[in-house]
Amino acid sequence: MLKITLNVNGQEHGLDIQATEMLLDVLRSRLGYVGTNKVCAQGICGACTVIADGKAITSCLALAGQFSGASLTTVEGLERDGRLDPLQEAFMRHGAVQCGYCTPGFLMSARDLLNENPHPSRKEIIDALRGNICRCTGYKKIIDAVADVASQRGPAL
Amino acid sequence: MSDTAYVRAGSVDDAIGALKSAAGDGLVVAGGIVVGSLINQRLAFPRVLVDISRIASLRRIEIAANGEMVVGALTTHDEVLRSPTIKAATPLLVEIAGEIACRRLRNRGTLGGSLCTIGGQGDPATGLIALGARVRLRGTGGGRELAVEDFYKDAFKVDLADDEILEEVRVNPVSPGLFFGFSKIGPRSAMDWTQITTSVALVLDPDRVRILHARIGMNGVGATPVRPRATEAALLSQAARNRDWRALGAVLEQEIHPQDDLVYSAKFKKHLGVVSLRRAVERACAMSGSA
Repeated sequence: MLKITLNVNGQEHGLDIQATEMLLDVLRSRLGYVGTNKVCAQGICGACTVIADGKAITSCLALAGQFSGASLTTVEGLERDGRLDPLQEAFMRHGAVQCGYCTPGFLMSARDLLNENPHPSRKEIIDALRGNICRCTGYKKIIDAVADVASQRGPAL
Repeated sequence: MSDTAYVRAGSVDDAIGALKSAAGDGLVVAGGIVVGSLINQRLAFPRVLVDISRIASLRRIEIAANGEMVVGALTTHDEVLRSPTIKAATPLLVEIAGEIACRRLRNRGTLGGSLCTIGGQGDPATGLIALGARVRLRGTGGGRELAVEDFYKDAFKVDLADDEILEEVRVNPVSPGLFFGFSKIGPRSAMDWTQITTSVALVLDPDRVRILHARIGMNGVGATPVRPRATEAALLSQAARNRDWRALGAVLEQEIHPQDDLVYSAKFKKHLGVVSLRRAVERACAMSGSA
């Protein structure tokens, strides 16, 4: 067993894990953060994207032991004081969600992009989302939703 | 249940000591992407995972006293993409990094991990071969250095002993007069494994008519990354304008040995190899203004 600590959405967790456990499984099965979805377990689809120490990562290919001490943001952490993230609002407004399974991953990849670059071009948005697969929407509404938030001027989003 | 042990190495000596103790049953973890994938697919059952991700000395990016650029094995593709030092010394490596997978994987995937675990399917190996880079390895017996093209033995097999790790890549910064190009061909533009990837580095004469020196790194045309030397030599006999691609293609097709796979036939890969080489050479020459 391996002792690790994780800060998830501002809350500290200490736990014992197996050396071969992936961060995704620790988040979902041990800590109950089931918003982060498991699909391919191969790093291809992006549904398991979370933000670790300020960078988007692929939690299904992340050995949890490597992340001891890290600060993680999952889709559950996007809501602040009962208010959804502007990206979540925009996804609803634009109908960027159909079955919804890929949505948490898209939101986290988009959040990672906007944290670094609050006003990306459409091309930059497409590049930042190239590691996320959606089999329902055809991507246009997702890109529109992110572009909508990106076009909003003002303080940090 | 897994009974795998986990060693968080604090230094290179720690890591190679742990690997030596594991006696061939240890697996090095850098960014964890390939190791994670192997574990998820039940393709790896290591007795010991040796996590090198916190070894600060493996993260350096600097120009050494002898002028070489040193890039630590733990440098992520994202760090390559953002490094002013790498951009100034070898812009080709930055261009290649921008085409790798996607943001979330570039944030974790490392240069050393790519070279050691997926060399034959990774793009950086081709650029490093074209640039004449070397890998620096260290084990309990000491250190050694190899040309990148000599690091590869067979599919997923590199010249790395059980107790050795790849510490860093060393490459000479490009000098004025060196032109380079990169071409990647695959079924999709994003998130694709390398199908055919070619990097070239060319030295042109001052009139930019003749190619004086050429180095080529290719992937997807054999079990490992390759340096097609006969094709390099054939390029030298060609004027920079009006190259005879039929003749050059024939030379390349003779010295690459792709295999059929689920996507492409070997014959088609040979054709794509020629197309990709041509694009890379044309990009290098376009950069020089001679094409």
